[in-house]
Amino acid sequence: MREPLDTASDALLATRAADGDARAFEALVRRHGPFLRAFALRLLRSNADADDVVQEALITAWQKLDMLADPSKARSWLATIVSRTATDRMRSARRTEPIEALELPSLDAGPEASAMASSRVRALRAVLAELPEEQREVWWRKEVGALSYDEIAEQLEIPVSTVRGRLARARQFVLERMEEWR
Amino acid sequence: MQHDDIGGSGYSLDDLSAYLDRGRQPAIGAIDGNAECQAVLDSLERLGALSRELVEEDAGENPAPSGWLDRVMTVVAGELKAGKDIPFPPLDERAGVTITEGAVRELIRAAGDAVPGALVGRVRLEGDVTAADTVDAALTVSVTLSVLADRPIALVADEVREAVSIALERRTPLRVDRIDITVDDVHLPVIPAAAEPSERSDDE
Repeated sequence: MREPLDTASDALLATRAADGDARAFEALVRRHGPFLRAFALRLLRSNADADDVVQEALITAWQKLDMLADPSKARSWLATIVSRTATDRMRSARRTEPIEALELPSLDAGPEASAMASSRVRALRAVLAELPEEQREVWWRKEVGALSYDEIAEQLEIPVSTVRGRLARARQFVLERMEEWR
Repeated sequence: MQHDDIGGSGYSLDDLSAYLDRGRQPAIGAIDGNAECQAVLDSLERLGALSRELVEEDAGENPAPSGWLDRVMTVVAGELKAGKDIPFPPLDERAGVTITEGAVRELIRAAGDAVPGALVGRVRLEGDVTAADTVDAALTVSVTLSVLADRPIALVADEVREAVSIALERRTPLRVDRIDITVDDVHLPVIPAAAEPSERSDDE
């Protein structure tokens, strides 16, 4: 009897994948792919771009698996690569079209989404939609991608102090607005 | 709320925000002992957790398009890490047969995984694998293992050692001195909650 790889820890899957086991990598992608796509969609606001970026990021990850120092942190390592790939994609898109034009109004306003969501998540969706883009892009990277200030600063090409400042302003705004929802 | 001096602590929301992201280290007594600061820190943490919940919700409502995983795996399969070639002893002067290091690792994983309650992690071949057919090379195979929670660890490790030894002897030219097994993980029979059902399609 073979134990299905789906029962294995992230650490084991990432270790095997680094050894060249494509099946283990596939199990890892199956487990975290949905989260990574949703994270990328938050950064890019386009389903097609998010699908592309995550595919590209996963292939980069496969090639660089031997650089993953702590295999138990595979999920956040993948999120960091997705964020980096998304940032590169947005930087090249910015040259051709204004970023706000990409906004998908349905992302937070769909009736299905609001029916499924808890009221607090629904409130947070609305509040985050009000944030200036420069604060929101730091918010997702920090709170969802779990990137460090240094990683965010490097990817967005802004000083670490600016990352800290934008995140603090975003938190202040969200905190105040969420209190109104209580 | 007063944001530049929370609860009379002398610390601003900016300070608390950065303190939270440093893992509240090094500890600052004026923050840790201040009820209002603690309430703000807890709220900030909850907002982080809620943001992750929001994205998980998005993930659940927006499954990958058909063939998405397959496209990733097609590229991955095209970039398999074969490693060194290991020659079999020649049966005939004119024909050389080799097996790749990657294929040997796969054999070892398959042999180990076939033992009930065992999942192979890392496989290391230490020694000169390419000379394995010419000398009694001192090759050591190191295997890490995750063992199913209710299975006896020493027994599973022994069975894996035996299975790997047989597989290598029958199917590779390698002469192995030692097989070191390290159990460094335990897994449960249930599928972790984060796992998503298959989204692969067979139509590509």
